[in-house]
Amino acid sequence: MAVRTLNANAESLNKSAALFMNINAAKGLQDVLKTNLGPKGTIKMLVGGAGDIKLTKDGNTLLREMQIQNPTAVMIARTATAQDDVAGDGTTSTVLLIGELMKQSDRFLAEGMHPRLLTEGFEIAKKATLEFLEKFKQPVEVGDKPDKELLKMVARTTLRTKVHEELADQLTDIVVNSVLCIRTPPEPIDLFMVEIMHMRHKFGSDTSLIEGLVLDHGARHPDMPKRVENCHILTLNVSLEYEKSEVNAGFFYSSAEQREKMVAAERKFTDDKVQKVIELKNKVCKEGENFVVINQKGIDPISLDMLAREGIVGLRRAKRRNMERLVLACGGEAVNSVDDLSADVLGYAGLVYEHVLGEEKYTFVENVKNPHSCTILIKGPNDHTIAQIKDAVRDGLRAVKNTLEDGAVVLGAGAFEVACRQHLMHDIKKTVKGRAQLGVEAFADALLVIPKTLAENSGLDTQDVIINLQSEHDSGSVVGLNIVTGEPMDPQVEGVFDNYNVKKQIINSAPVIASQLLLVDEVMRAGRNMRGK
Amino acid sequence: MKEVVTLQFGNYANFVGAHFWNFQDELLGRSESATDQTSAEEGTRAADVESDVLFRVGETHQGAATYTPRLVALDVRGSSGTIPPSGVLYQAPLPSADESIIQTWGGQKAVYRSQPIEKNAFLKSLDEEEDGESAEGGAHGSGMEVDGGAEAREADLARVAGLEDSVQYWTDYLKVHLHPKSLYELPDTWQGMNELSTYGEGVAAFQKEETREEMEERVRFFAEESDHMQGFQCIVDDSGGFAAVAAGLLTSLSDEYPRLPRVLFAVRPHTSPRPASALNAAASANNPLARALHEAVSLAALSRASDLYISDGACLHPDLFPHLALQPSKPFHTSAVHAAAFDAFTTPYRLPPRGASSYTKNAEPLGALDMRDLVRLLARTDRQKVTEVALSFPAPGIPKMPGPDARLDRSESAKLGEGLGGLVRSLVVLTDEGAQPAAGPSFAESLVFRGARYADGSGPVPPPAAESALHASLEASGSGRAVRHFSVTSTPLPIPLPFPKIFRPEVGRHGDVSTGRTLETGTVKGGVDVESVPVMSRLAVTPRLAPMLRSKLEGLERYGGFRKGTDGARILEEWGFGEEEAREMRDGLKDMVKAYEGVDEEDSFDSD
Repeated sequence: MAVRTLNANAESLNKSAALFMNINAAKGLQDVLKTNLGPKGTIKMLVGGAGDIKLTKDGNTLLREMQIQNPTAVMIARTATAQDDVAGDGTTSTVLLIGELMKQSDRFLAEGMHPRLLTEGFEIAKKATLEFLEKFKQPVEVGDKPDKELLKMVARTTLRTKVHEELADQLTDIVVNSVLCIRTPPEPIDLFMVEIMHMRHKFGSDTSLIEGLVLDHGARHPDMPKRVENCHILTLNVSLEYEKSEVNAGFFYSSAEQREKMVAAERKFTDDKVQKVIELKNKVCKEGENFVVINQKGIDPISLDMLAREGIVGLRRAKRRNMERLVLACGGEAVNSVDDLSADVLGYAGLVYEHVLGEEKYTFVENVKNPHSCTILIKGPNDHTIAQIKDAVRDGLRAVKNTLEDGAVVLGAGAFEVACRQHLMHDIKKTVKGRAQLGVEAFADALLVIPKTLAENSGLDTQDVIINLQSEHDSGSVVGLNIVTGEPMDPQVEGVFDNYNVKKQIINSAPVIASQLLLVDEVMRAGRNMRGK
Repeated sequence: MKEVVTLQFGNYANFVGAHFWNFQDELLGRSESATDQTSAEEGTRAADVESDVLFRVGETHQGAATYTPRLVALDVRGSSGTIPPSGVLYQAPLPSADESIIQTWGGQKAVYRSQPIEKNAFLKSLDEEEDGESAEGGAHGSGMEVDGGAEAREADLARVAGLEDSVQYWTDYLKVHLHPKSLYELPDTWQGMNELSTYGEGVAAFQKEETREEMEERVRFFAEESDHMQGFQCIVDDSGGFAAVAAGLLTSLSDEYPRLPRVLFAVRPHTSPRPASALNAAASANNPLARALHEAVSLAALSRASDLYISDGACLHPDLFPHLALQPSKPFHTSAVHAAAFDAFTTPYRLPPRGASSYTKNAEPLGALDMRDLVRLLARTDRQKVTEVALSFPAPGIPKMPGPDARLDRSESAKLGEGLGGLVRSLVVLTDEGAQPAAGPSFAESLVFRGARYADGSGPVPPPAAESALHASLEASGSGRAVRHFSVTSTPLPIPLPFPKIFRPEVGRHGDVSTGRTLETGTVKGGVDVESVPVMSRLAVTPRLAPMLRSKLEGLERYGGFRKGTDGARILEEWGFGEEEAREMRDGLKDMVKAYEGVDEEDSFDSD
């Protein structure tokens, strides 16, 4: 055992103990995440040792909050969170499916079956499932005029699993509109162009879409106007601060007078840059028009003063990404040198105003023409509410983006899982030779964990539900679960759609991890590797 | 006043930082109550060191004024003890029932509660004080009510009694409030489980877009509101992955704030605060190969990412400082010494510029220097950024200088020379193993003397006299040539109440050291019995650093394995350094070593 001789701390478990540990860990993790699933799931409030609160209904967030030590559970958790990185959702489903694959396998292993045969069956079933998914998915119109109603249904499906219905429906319009706003085909969709800004607000929560930009800072001069209309927007990346030159360190002067001179000369260098901005303002501003400078670099008080005297609003140290967003929202281009100043680089906004909240200041840049960047402004009474809404908004945005990129959706509410299970049992299983059949069977039954859990979380009898759904499918209709009545329903009619690539990711990754966990020979608990990943 | 933004990287850096902010808070409290106190005479005037340089004025949603550090502190999750990461100052009031806390979900709810972490007696007393304060609108500092006699002393002793043995988190003794944007616990880390203990983990953490952006945003928040920022000061625990996080963030800051200097103070814990668990005992992190590479890589990366790299890796064994009784196994103890050094050597850029305030004759602090000038003074070339730090704590008393007409006999003048020479000789080098002689020539030095006192116990020394004593001491101790800058202020280091009990019995209330007399057999003293102490620090860019630098270069050369397939190459690769970068790093270190050894470049252009 090379590893053990290398690391005396390494502990090891033999094969059957290892398998037992893996199955238990997978089941354990499944139990924790199970109640999360679906619109009837349980929200979890985590209270830290210092009384700090975190709310989540999202499997990914929950996994990242948990301090998991069991190596198997860590491995499953990593796969599941990687799922979120790739597809934006589906963490809970991945964990459920891995757990269920292990559970189903446990049954056959107890009868003495070799894990290798099971995993062979998994592999066949996985391939067949992916092929089935290709046939099962429904194309979506995503051209110049995407099917907005359908996009809303997809967004609503995911949002209703994260926040309550009323809030989900409000967020639905917001996320769909913001993705459509920033979308410029054939360019890939860059969700970073949707700024998510939040404000603490005493009274309840309220989320809105600002077509334009909200910056989390304001002008730093008392005389600058707080509200201006018809604004030329200058997006700048030039320091307007007094800077000592390199040779100008304090102790190299021969006299105070010489120092004064030097300082004045350097100040003039900065003033000249400000003057160029002012000249541009005077050139372009007609009666009733205003000028706003948004600078990525600093603006010192003397420069602010010069700008204020000309009625120019100046913001400093804007975040780097907002430079990009500003140009997409207002037009014009970001300027890196005052030599490039001209009327062409200016953008436009109908309204720019400041909003003050305690020590926080916000600047709204609104009424822009044809924006390709926008801001979702989340207001909530406290940090944990804001954080949870933010998580939900992110998931909603990803769902819309996924739909547009996939050009397809999958019927939700468990419809796909039931249909696929029937397909595997009726059509695929018999084509497989020998005991690997049982692997296909285990896989097929494991898929049912999704509708079963949905039913369980809704307080329904899972067996009744599954039998009803299966017989509907066998009679040829594709149905999902109505979580209120427990009856089969048509997801198409109810507007319950899942993302194609989320499903695909889940099916791709869950059986791979389950197979690895089944085939493990020995578990070595050693130090982490250098990277620790 | 020019603003400084402070950055703290890693758990131990935050231990140091917590002491540092306690010093600032103590100073602030005393200057506020100084008007009606007699302590002005005792040399605790606080106005000399400007707190506005480090603190910001703010306002909560409820309209209450706040005064918090301009600080971004990075740590692992679960490391902030009883304080939630977003602090308590700006907390929104919560409804009492769990049910109504959840407004975003109509369905079922489950609450998972971690075991609440109990506040220690000191933190509880802070809370009580605050509640009382809001009733009477009282003062800031908490250590000043000490003078109230035996009863008050007993009360104070009770407040801090538990700290010596119970400090587990750096927030256990922190007495300032932090702004909600100050403390950022890196996602996917956890104290005791995933602590970013290796350089590679730090690289991976920094590469996450979400993490990097959040860090940059927090720095931007403090920078945006500053009118005349002078730079960044950073405390970095460079023993593990936070070295990589620091290198990454500082490099990105140099793009965003190209003209602002970054002063970096590299510290490291002397022992692991917690015993390593089986999972945690990363064999690879402890093996000599990975260790040597880490040493070289973090030095190379951090010195490149900063403008001044102040190296403090001393193992603070108990006898290092003659008047301190340190327990090296307690981070609470050791971090206090590093904080004292940090507080001292950052003094020059926190002093008011000459003539800025009205001072009585001889009381004005000397040697204010803004951060950029301090950096230029010391790091005169790009290859000479690594700086040695030495500390005298508490600094010895200054012998009374005879008047210009006085005639000294031989023994008197020898005694005087001895006393003066002792000033500089009392400096303890904190860099590396602290084994080198403290004297000798340097390229450049910055000396700071705070709160100098006369050796005969007759009270504070005015800054001009302290400065001339320092000059005389350098001469008497045979220190070599160097470009030197002196900063002298009559403000000593204020010792806050929760300061660890590390002063030996001979240290007096104001830091006078009573030698000669028989020592009280009493116990060690902490913040209850010592109010302030004089400190002296020296930053030096000096050839003395050459052996330390060379040993790191040699580590890289020996293990770096500049051939594909070697273990060293593989590790470097994992840390994000390809063959090309590794060579570049080695060449950078070589140049650095040459610059410190004083070898001319022309002599050795045929290297490799």
